[in-house]
Amino acid sequence: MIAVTIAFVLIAYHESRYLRSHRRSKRTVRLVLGFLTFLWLLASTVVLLHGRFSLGVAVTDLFKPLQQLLFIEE
Amino acid sequence: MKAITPLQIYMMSTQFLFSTAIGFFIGPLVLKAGFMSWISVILGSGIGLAMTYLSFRLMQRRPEEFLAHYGMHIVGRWPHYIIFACVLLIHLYMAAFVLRELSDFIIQIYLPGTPEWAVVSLFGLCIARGVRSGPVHFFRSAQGLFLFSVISVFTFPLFVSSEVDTEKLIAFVTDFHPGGIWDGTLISSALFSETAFIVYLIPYFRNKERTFRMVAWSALTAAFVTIANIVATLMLFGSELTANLTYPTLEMIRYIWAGSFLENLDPLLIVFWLFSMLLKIGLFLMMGTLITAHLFGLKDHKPFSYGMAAAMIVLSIAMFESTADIEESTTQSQSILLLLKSSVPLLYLLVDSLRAWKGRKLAGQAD
Amino acid sequence: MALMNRFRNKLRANTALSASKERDGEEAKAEASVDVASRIAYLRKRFSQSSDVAYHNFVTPSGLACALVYIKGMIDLKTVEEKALSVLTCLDPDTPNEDLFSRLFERMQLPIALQSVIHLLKEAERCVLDGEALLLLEGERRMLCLSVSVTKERSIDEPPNESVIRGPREAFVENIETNITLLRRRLRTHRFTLDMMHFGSETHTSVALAYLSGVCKPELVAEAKQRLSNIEIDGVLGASYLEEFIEDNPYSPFPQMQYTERPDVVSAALLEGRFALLVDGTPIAILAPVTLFMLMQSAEDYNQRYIAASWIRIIRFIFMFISVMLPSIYIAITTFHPDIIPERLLMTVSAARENVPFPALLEAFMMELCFEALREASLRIPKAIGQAVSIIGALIIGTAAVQAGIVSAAMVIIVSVTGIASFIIPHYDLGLALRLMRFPIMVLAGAFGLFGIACGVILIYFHLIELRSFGVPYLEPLAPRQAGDLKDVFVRAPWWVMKKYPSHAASGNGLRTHGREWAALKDEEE
Repeated sequence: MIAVTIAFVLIAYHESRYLRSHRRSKRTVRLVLGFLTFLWLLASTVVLLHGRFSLGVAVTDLFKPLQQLLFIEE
Repeated sequence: MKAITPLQIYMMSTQFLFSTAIGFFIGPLVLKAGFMSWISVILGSGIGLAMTYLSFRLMQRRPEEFLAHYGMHIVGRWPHYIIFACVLLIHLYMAAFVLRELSDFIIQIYLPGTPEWAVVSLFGLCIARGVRSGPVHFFRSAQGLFLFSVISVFTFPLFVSSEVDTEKLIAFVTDFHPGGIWDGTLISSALFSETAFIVYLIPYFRNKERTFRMVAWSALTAAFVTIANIVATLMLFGSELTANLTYPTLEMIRYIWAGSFLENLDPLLIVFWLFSMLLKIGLFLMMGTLITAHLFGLKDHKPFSYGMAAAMIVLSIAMFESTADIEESTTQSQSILLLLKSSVPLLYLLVDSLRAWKGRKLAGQAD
Repeated sequence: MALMNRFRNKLRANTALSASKERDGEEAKAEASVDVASRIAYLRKRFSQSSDVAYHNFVTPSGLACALVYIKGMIDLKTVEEKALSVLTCLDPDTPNEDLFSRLFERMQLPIALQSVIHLLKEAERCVLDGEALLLLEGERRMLCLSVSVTKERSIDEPPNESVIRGPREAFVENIETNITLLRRRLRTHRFTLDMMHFGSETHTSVALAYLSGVCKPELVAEAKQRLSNIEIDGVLGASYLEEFIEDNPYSPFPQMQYTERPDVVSAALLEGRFALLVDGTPIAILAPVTLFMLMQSAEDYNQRYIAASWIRIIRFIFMFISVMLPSIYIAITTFHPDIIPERLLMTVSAARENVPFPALLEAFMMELCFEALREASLRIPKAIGQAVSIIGALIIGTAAVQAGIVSAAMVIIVSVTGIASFIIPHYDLGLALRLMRFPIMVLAGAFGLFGIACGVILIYFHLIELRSFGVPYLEPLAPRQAGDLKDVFVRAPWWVMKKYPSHAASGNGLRTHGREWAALKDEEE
C-alpha cells in the first residue's frame, strides 16, 4: 500500500514536471492529476481488499454465465 | 500523424495475435476441440476477421478522426462516455491479465524464488517505456523485432518434427465433434477479433485503404503459426495431455535438442517469444492510454502512460490469488470479454448505419 | 538593513557594468575618427592587458603619419615589411594624400592578396585579434586589414585513431583552412558549399558548415543553422562543445553525431547528403545526421572488396552483441539456466567457480571495473613504460587473481573477449555507450537471468527507436524499414548496386552510380 502510494506520488511529480515543461494548460494538469488519483484509488482498493476480494474472480463470475450461454459443451 | 506503414501494421498484428495464442490458448482450445482445433482456428480467424472488417467499415466513414472523439455524435454523449470508460477498463484489465499470465509462467518455470512484484515490475517498466514512446514508435519497434519472433515460433514445431508420433495424424480428420469445434471457434474468434484495435488508431495509419488487407494477412500468418504449433503439440502429447498441461507449448519446446552444443534451448526461445508478449501487453495498455487521452480531449497520451502502467502492475499482482484462478478465468470468461470488447465498434457501426438510414428516409420523405 | 544595502550595491554595480559595456559598445560601434592617435589610444586601452600587441608608428615620405598594429608572433613580418612598409616608406614625397588613400582603399594597390577595408573600431579590434595586421593612416577614417597571419601548424599526417590498410592516409589538422583544402581537393564541384560562422565570445572560433547543395536536404541545412544560431558560449575549443548544444537528445548515452579525423570519410558523408562541421583548432570534424549503422561502418569497408568488407561487417555486429551481452549471458546461465550448456562444459565451469567465494554477478563486476580502470589508465600511462606495465599488469593480475581464487579463469576469458569485442566497434563514442549499457544489463542478468537481459535489451531498443539525429530515426533503415538502404547496413553491397542516394538525402537526384552495363553486353556476346 505504501509502495503503491509512493509510486503514484513519484509518477504524479514526474508528470507535473513534464506538463509544466511542455506548457500545458491548467485543465490538462487537473485532468492528468485527477486521473492519476483515480488510478491510485483503484490500485489501493485492489491491494487493500487482496485476500478478501479478488477482482479477477469477480470479473470471471460476472462473465461466466454469458459465456456458458454461448458454449455448447460443458 | 500518418506514420504507421501497412507493413508495420502487418508485423504488429501478427505478433499481437500469435503471442498469447501459442503461449496460453492451446490448452483451453484443445480442451474443447481436441484434434479438430485446427478447424476451430480457421473458423475463428474468419469470424474474428469479419468483426474486424466491420470495424474497418466504421473507420472508413471518418478516417481522419478518432472513435473516442466522434463516438459521442453517434450514440450520444453519456452513453459514449460510459461505453468507452468500460472499454478503457477492459483494456487495462486485459493488459494486467496477460502480464500476470506471463509473469506466472516465467516465475514458475525459470525464476522460482524471485518475488512476483519484481518480475512484474520489470516487465511493466519495459511496457511503460514502450507505451510512452507512442503508437508510431511502438509499431516501429514491432517491425524491428518481427523476424526474431517469427523465426523463433517457427522453430518450435520444426525442431520437434523428429519426435512426433505420426500415427496420430489420422485423428486430425476423424476426431470430429461439432460442439467442441464450435466452442473452440468461439475461443479463436475472441482471439482473432482483437485486431479490431485498428479502429482506435486509424488516423496514425498511412495508406488506410490497405489496412484491412494487412490485418487479413497478419491473421492468416498468425493462424498458420498457431496451427503449426497445435499440430506439433497434439502429435507429441495427444489431446488429453495437451488439454491438461498448463503450458503445453513449453513442454513441446523442451523436446527441442539442437545438437550437442546446447542442451535445452527453451530459455532462449522463450526470450524471443517474450518480445511478442510484451508487445501484446503494451498494445493493450497503449489502447487504454490513448482512449483516456482522447476521452479527455487531449492530444498527448504521454502523461497518462506511467500511471496506467503502475495501475496495470498493481492489478496484475493483486487481482488473482493463484494460477488456478487465472486458468479458470481463461477458460470460463475471457473469450466473452474479448468478444464484447471487439463488438464495441460494431455497436457504433450499427447505430451510425441506423442513423444514416433514418436520415436518408427523412430526407426522402421531405422531398 | 544590511541585506538591503547589499542588494542596493549589487544593483548599482550591475547598472555601472551594463553602462560601461554600453559605452564601450557605443564607442566600438561608432565610426573610427580620422585621427591616428585617438584610434591608437582606443586600441591601447582595449589591449592594455596584452603585452604582445605591437604598435608601429611611421611616417611616409610625404609626411603622412601611419601606424601598423599587430600581435607579435601571429603575422608574417617579412611579408608586412616587403609588401606594406617598404611600399609606404618608399613613396614619392609629392604624392597627395587623397591619391594615396584612393590607391590604398579603392584600388587596393598594396601587393597583398587578401585585404579588406574596415570602418569601425570594433572591426579593427577583431582584425588584430584574428592575427592580421591593421594599417591606420592620418586623416583617413578607413583602415586596412591585411591578411598576413602565419600559423605554425603540424603537417598532415596519418590518422592516429582511424587507420586503414588500403585507403588514403591523410588526416585533418588543427587549421580550418587546411582542412577545408583537404575537402576541396576531393569535392571539386561548385555544389560544395561552406557557411562560415564564429562561436565563442572570447575565442571567436571559426566554424564551417559544409554540405553539398542539391544533395543535402535544404531543411536539414536550415535546421542545423537554426540550432547553431542559438548557441551562446564564451569559448569553443573543440567540436564536442558544439555537439552537445545541437544534438537531439543530450541525455542519451548514444552519440547522435559522428566524429572523424579523415577527409575521405567527410567527403563520403557529404556525397550521401549529410553535413559536416569543421571547427578551427581541432582536427576532428563532426557529421550529421547519423544512424547506429553508420557508426558501425568503417572507412576500410569501402576500400576493400565488398565480399570481404561484408564479412568483416557481420563479424563487427556479432562482436558488438558480444561486447554488450557476453558477461551478462555468462552470469544468467551460471546462476539461473545452467541446463542450457552441455554437461561437460557445465562441469568445467562449475569446477572453475568452485573456489570463488563471490557470486557470478559480483565477480563479473569486479573484473569489468578492473578492465575499465586498466583501459582508462592506459590512456595516460607514459608511452615508454605503457606497454611493459600493461603486459605485466594484465598477466600478473590476471594469473594471480585466478590462482588466489578471487575470480575464475572463465571470467577472465569472458572479460578479455568482451574487451577485445568492444575495440572492434569503429566509433569510440558508440563503444563507450555500449560499455555503459553493459553494467545495468549485468545487474538485470544477476537478478532475472536471461529474461532480465531480454528486458534490458528491450529498454535500450525502445530508447533507440525513439532517438533521432536531426530528424532521421536512429535505427533507420531497419526500423523504419527502408529497403533500398539495407544494402549498406549488415553487408556492403558493391558500388554498382548502390545506385540511389540514401533516403535522408535530397530527393530527385536521380541515379548515383551506374557503370556495369558493359558486363551485360559482354554476356550477350558470349
